[in-house]
Amino acid sequence: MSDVKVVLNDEEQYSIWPVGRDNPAGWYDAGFSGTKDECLAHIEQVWTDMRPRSLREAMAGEGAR
Amino acid sequence: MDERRARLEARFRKAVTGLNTERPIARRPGGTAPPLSFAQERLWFMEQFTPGTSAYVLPVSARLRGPVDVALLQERLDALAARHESLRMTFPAGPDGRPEVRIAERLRVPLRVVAAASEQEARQVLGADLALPFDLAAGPLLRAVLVRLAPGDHVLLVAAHHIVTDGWSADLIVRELLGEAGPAPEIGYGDYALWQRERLTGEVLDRELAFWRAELAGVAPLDLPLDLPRPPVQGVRGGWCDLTVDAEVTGRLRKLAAAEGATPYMALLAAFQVLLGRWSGASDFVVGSPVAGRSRPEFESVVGLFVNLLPMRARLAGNPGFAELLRRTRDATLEVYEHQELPFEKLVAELDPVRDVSRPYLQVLFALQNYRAGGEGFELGTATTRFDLELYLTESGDGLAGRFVYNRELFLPETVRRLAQRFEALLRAVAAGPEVPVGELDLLPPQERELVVSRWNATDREHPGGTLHELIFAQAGRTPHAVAVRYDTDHLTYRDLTRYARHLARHLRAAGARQDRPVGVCLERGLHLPTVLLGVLTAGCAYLPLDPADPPARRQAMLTDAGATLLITGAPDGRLRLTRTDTGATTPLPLTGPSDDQAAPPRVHPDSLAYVIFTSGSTGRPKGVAVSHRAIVNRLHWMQAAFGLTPDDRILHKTPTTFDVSVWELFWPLITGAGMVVAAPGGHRDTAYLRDLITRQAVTTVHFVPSMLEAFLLEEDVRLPARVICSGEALPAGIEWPAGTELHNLYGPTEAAVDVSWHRCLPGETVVPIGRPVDNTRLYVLDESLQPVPVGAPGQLHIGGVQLARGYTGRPALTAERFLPDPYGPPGSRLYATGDLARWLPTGELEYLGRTDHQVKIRGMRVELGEVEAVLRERPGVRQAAAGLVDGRLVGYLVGDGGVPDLRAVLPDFMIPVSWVHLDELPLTANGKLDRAALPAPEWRADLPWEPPRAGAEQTVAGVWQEVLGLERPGRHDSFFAVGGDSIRSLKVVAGLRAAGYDVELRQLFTHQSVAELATVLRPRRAVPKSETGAFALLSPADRKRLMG
Repeated sequence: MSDVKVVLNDEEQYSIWPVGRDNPAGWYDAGFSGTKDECLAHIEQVWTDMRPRSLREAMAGEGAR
Repeated sequence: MDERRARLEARFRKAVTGLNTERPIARRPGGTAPPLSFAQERLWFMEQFTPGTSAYVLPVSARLRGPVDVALLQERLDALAARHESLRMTFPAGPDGRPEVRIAERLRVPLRVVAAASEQEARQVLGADLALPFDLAAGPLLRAVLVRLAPGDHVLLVAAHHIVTDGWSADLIVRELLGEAGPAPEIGYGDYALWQRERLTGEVLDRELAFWRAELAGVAPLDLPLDLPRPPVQGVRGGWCDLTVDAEVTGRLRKLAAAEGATPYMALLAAFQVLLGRWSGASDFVVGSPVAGRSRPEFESVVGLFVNLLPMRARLAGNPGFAELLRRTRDATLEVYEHQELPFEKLVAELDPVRDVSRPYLQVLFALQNYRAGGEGFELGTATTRFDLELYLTESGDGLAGRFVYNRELFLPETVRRLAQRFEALLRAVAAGPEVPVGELDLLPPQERELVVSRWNATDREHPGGTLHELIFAQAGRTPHAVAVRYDTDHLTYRDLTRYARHLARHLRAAGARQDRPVGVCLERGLHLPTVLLGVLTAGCAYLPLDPADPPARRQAMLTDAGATLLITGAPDGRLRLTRTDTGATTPLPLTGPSDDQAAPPRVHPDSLAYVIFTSGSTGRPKGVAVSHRAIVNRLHWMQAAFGLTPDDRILHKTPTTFDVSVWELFWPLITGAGMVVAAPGGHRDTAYLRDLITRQAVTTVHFVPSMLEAFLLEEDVRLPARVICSGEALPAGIEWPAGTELHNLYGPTEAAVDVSWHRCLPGETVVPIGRPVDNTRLYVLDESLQPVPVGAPGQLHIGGVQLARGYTGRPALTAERFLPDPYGPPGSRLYATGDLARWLPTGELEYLGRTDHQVKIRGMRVELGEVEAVLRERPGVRQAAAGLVDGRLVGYLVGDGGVPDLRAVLPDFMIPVSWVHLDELPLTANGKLDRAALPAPEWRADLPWEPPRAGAEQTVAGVWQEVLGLERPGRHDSFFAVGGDSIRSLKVVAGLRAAGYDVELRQLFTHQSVAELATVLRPRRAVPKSETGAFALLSPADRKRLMG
């Protein structure tokens, strides 16, 4: 049963959203859907750095002090 | 629809007559007194219960255009009473306290003629008449008022007690008074009552009861979201709100109903139940719906109380589309109609023997009415209600006209007005989308949606920003010599504080500390706790507070989970030590160093983490909430904007750093130049110590968890500081505080930087709201589909805005599950699902209602029962385990062979159960889950064992019970209704006690159900000699009481 999908935003933060409902603005399909548990397990695998993207980039720019 | 109803009626009649073998109903021999019908008996009882009530006065009104002959009207009224014996009945109590029926041979109906200058004046006259009670024992139970507006313009009001009439009867009365009286009724009401009494016995009764017992099994009372607290005894003052449904929507509903083989009644009932379900959050409840009860042709022309109330069960489970719901409702209604003969009062007596006097058995009524029989009505402008809410719909042309009647002691007019708007929206929505799951229908009118989504969340506000340590360094630059921290007799100036923090930061950087990474801090409160936290922040790191009292294994697990490689602890000599968690190597951590540079601290990105605080996790593992500078700085700037702390203020820091309230206690004073007073370790639990410290150090601002505030206020000679801030638990109403103190109620989870809403408490509030959202924060009350619920309706509180935590450190799946895409905020924003239930109040403030899950609060600290249970299950000898909160205390339930496990090595003190219950097995629900409601209370609340009644009033009460209930030996803790009492027997108890020389009010049998309780409210019966009555009547009741002892 595939009722939930994995979504992410510009800060590359992950979340889940029902299949068949429009994504809220600024959220994009990550290309994975399944049961809620499957989606969360997928996120556990792929979301390895929980810093928002803008922070990651700022820190990389400063040479990760 | 009339045709459909006729078919149903025919079907019903067949069912009834089939059982009854169509024997005609006999007229009883002349001169014999009939019994009361079941419904009459119930009403009689209700009347004794609230003597002098006008709740059962049933009005019929008519506008009479043209000349009125008063003598003729009197003649017709008297003829009406002559035709219908019901109208001549009275109901005195017999010697055993039970009511009897007397029927007068004839009755001259009281008719008053009054002149009125306007319709409004007429309404006043009629309203005053309707407020007059009837005397059931003496009668008459019928009276009339003719109001003359002009020579050719009158209003007639006929009022009768419900015990002798009903809605159908009202039509008969109008017809017989103003038009043609049909043939005389074949039987009298008393014949019906006798027939009913004889018929509903034995097998027929058993069969009917069996049906209803099954039909209503497991249904819960409907808890509508009330605006006002439910009074101890339900009042009857009603208000109303009218609505109309246009011909187009009505037509579509009719078509929809016809397509499913259902009646418009079924469709409207189903829609109303959806409305109630969406409003209350309930999916399984009953709505009462009247049926005429005229199941045989002989009944049709008889005035009297025939109407019956059928509990119609809502079947919203599984969130069906409306068409599917309509099919369910159709099948259920047809079945229920075949069992409509069992009087509601018998059903209640069977299913609900222990009555709650504060609320009716059915809370909500629904009726689809036919148009009135004839003539022009007159809007009376008053309403009484015996329910929480009633909806009456009438077919009006091609559309529908409707009226919500509501109990004014429970609801505000605007709430019902919004409800009526939503009902219209709902009918439109189901007509347009019969397959849309009813839980997802859009019911909010645009204005209300705008209110709860936008207007009440208009919190955008520019703040200076910055990071915590930047703000403190800036303050130190402004007031270097001001005292920043006071502890006992020591203190630190702002310059001391920042100088030490810089040194610490340099040492930490040298040891490998890096931006955005947590550093563990495991220290008792003291002078240098703020210094150390500031040092960690200055190094660019987040602090991870650990409680030295927690089990070492738990602390280690948190460090590992958060990826903290450095840990700061205090040595016994008070010096600081730094431990590398990977190697275990420990070195001294000095507060001073070779250089004393004044260089600005390194810049840290505002989205970097400031702290990581662990809270209880439902799966057995605590979770670390990671909060950025941006989030907590917004929270502190809001607090400063709201409260305006000055350099003269002193804040008490007494909350353990592992509880996030400590964050504002520590940093709010330091960014505003105010002083901080640090309480001694353990001092936060010592009310006498706190009282002395607050006075000695002139503290102006203090935080209390509400339960601690209540304890503090019980301490002797307490003086509250100017500002008291509560959070961490629901703040109960009724706390009293001195006029010189401001009391504030704050709400928020750790996942949104301490607090997200604020309410300033006002004396005498009956509900303490959690208030409005703080700056740059949006709060939404949403249903399961993340749709906003109406004002007043419960839903899960969701938080959006700048204060959201980054998530749970090292737990991406858990983070994704609780931090959801925000459909209402800026693009890409997130919403935190709190698991808290809340609702909007009409003022735009929020009220906290409870939890959606099994999280509880112990002294303000979050505890997931699941975490305690997971830990218990891992103990040797424990096969199964559960945990619960009883009277604010944590209780452990164990299944297994071992004794009580020692949890001190695995759980913090507040998460260890204080009482234990050993069970053979855990109670399970029908679907195999732990049935928390069925977990027994521990012994401190065990049912009281049997005890003999004590001498005096208790023995008298027990003696009366013995007689009335046929008991061998009533115990003093026995509850009247648990040992076989019912409403009629309660009357006998009252009569019996009177005979024994005591006065007691009937309702006290319900509020004081045990022998011992009832004995406390007995009053010796006053035998006042007749001659003295006059004199005593001049005394006030209180004086009289004093005189009489």
